[in-house]
Amino acid sequence: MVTLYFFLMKNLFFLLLISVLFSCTPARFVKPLEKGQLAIGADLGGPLIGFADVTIPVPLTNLNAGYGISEKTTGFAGIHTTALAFATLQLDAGAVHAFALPEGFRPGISASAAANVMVGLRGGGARLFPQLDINAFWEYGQGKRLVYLGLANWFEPAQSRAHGEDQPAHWLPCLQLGHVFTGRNWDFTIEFKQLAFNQDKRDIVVDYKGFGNKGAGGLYFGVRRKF
Amino acid sequence: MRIIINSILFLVILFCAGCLRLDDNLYNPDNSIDAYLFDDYAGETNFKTGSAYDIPQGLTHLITLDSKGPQDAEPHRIYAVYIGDISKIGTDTVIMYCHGNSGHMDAYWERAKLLAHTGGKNRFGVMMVDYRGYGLSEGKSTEKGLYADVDAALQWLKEQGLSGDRLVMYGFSMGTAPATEITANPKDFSLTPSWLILEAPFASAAVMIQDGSRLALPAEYLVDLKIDNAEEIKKVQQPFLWIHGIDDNFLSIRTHGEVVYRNYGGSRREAVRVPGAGHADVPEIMGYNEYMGAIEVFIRR
Repeated sequence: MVTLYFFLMKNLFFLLLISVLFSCTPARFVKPLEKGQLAIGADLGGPLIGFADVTIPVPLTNLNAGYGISEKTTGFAGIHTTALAFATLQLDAGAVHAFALPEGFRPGISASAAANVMVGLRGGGARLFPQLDINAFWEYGQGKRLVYLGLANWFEPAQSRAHGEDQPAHWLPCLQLGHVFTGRNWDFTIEFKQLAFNQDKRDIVVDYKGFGNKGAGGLYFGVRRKF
Repeated sequence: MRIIINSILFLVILFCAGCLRLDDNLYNPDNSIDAYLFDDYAGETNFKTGSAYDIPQGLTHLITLDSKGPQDAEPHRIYAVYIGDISKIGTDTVIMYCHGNSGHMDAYWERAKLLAHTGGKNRFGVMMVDYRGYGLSEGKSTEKGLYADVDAALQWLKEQGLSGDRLVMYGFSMGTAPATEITANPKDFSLTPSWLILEAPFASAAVMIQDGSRLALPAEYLVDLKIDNAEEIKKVQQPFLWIHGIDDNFLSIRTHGEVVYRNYGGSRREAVRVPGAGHADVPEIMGYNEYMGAIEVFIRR
């Protein structure tokens, strides 16, 4: 009875509470766009949580765009629409660079650097979280579909948190495994993450789901139109 | 054309920004009941004490109150229960029990009974109120409503002859917010409590958010709630007892309870950290007699 009683509280409150709080997105552009190419996309998904006896991803959403600055470098930016609905303007902007392109079984390697900015539209000021990702990717098939495996890293620069307590986490790494179904004009992405796998999840308010007692799994879907 | 459509879409999104806040999700009331059942309640509770703890007939009083806070245009009709002899409120010590965020008073009845029997059979009077939106109480739950509703109960107790020197404030989980607020700012309320007991308190909405995200995010990103026990407790000068399950996996003893305890501004504080207990089962895991004993010793000391 105890479990059910507080299960309700946990999920009703915190299903949405966390929705902008760990706003990782699927990897923006694992393989850079062609030079001069524009792409606009949308993503849906987030950390896995228990809700009404089933495990679901928190439905975070964002709109994003990318532009091929060169053959190996793409700039991108996004606005997090779920966060915006909760009066928090969250933007990310950065660039991805391919250091190597895939050849046979040898993967391509790309890395991206981005800044995530959050501004509370009803107070709370602004926060900035740097992000660094590195991915290995392989292409296969005639459509050059993409499989990638990588590590996304959020950094929390704050030294203290509420009530002057020490901020316990400064590095939030996420392992990510994804697949891009590549079409002529459209790309569809599905990605699984293991979020914050260095963080204990046992004594916190959110009923995160994932492997073991660390972090949370995450499931993301993306669609992108190329121009 | 496409740019125009996209721009309009973006503006609509911006216009809608802030439509959603999470404040209401703090409250998880059950207002589907037709009547309070108290000892006959067979629904969900955190634990069952057994018939030995039943309240003798004639000592359970269901009361209706008009609760009107500064922000209310009209009063709300809310329900409360007093356990004890009303005619003795003028001389008895009374525990004002502020329940948690789920259900209604029946779900907390077992807890209220333990408090009533602390120090002996029906030794203390116990007052419990269903906040607006809970149980049969009218209205919609709000932060200020919590304070107004508990104050309506205090006003009633005052009219029955209770004075602050015999008033113990007890808050559990969400109920630690009104308990702390009233004890810290008694001039804004009907009575000045002389003791404060917090079971499984939360520090603030900010800590909840930061625990969940692991990022040092401001609470204002998501909620308008001003509840901040970790700051309000600094003003409390009355004796303070803190009880918390060490294995509380909802409101962490480390990030919530310890912060509130550490920030207490008075000179007499006591802590009961309960091994093996989670968020909602402290009295059961601790043992009813030991739990009641700790409270009795704290009040009598």
